[in-house]
Amino acid sequence: MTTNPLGIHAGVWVGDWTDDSARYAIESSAEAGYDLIEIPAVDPRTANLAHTVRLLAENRIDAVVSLALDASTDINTEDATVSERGEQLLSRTVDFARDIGARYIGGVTYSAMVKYTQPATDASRANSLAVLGRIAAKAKLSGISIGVEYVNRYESNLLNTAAQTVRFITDLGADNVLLHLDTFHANSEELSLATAVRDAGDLLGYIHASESHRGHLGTGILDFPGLFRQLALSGYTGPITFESFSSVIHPRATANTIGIWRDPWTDPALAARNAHAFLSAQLAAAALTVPSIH
Amino acid sequence: MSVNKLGVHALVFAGGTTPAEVEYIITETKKAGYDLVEFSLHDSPKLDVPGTRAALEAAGLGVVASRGLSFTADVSSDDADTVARGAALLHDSLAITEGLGGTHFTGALYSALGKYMQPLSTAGRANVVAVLKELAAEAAGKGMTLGLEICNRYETNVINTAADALRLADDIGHDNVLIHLDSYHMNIEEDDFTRPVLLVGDRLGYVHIGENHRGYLGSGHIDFAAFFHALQDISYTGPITFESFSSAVVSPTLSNDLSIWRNLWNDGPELARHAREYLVHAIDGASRVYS
Repeated sequence: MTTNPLGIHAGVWVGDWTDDSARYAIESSAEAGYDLIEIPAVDPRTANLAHTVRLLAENRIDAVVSLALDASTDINTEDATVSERGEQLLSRTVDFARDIGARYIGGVTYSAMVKYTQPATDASRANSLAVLGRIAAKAKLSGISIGVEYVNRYESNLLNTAAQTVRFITDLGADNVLLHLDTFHANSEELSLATAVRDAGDLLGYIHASESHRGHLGTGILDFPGLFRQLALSGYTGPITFESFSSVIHPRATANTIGIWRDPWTDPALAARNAHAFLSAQLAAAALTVPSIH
Repeated sequence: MSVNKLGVHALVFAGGTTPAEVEYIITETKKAGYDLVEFSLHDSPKLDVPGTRAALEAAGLGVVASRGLSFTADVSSDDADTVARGAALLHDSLAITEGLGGTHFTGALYSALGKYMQPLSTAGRANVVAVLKELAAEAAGKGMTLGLEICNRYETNVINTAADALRLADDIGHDNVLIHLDSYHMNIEEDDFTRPVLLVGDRLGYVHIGENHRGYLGSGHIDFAAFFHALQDISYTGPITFESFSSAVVSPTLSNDLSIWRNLWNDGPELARHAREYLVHAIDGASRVYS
């Protein structure tokens, strides 16, 4: 009955991608019942990709790749040198995804994930579109889609809503670029999660299920029943991936970037099990509800 | 009618506080029917304090002053000179608040208003407590209160939740230090809109009402019914101030600090009238509970 693959961000388990971390993250994700694991991009020139590929196969779990550009690799910029570094990073990330058999790269692919100190400009937006257009063309050769994850105002100045993201993807004009909806970010910027889904329309390709405070699902403010009913009405069958951050797991540098000053949990296995049960129950309830609407 | 005085943040009308901007802010605040205006002191060198006070008194409006600190003048720093600059800024701002005729000085008095790149240190927190102890004593001598506004993780690393704020207020240990809840920040950090209010109880001194995206009240998803019922449950009688930001009204510094990239409205006076009606009805509705 459940058609949406349920995923989990590797950052629930690990803060790096050493061989030991890869084994622990992939095995733990499979054990908790997930269909896919989202792996933050690592440099394909130095990583042990064969190890990852073997573990994914052994554990019968799919992989997607995520990344966020930073200030030194920003393509939402008028600085050609910085943009070039960003394009190279994006290009290497396509190689990484291809080499581990992932078909999707999502995240803050269009901008640095930073607190900007000025608004985006027409020129920085145009640069981002041009670079992503070339990256999408390269990704398409390997059957890979690129996800554009809009984030809240504190993590990018370029795309903060589904409506802005639809315009951006429309301007980009590549058929393998999708809208990536993150419920934590939508909570700060949208009228509701359901309207964000409707705004995204057919471009919706990936969902991060993350609570309003980024802790355990169901312990915050988000209207998950409203989201899942709209997903059922919209016929969304794509992945839904649990994302949550605790500095118990994350390296301090990453936690600092996204402002993790308190730890919502200390036991990743508990967070993963709770999220899987929560998402499964939401999907089941939405499936029971939506036919009665018609 | 509401026992709470209703306020509006000056940035609904103008990005700065030049004499012409202040005149416009006060005129429009009065016209929209509010009881008080909140001035952010980020632009205070331009503010004509006696002139503003006279205009407020002529209009019959109350005033609250607010501010956040900056990374170069930050009482949560480990660096003594930075802390001293922050303490001086707080001292000056308290004097401006008094000069305006206000008795309540609130905001991120305990840190820079910005995205930190490291957690609060033990020494930094001790500096916050020491500086605010002194400021609270100074304020008490003037019959004034201080507010600790709880902000989200991207605007401070010192207090993000009501529980954090109560611990800080306990450590400061002066009863003229009150808690300031803001629905916009609560939406990012709290589990719901009821329990933080009950937790703070009679230590609540000031309330900001903002939508989840900081635009028109009712155009987002914040559970204002739950929030106003909780305020009713604790018999909150203090001020309730509407806060909203749009790229249509820009402060050269504060707008970028607050990441105001989107245009959520163009007409500040119309927005202010709408918000006041919304607040009046929400507060009145919460008082009509049948048991």
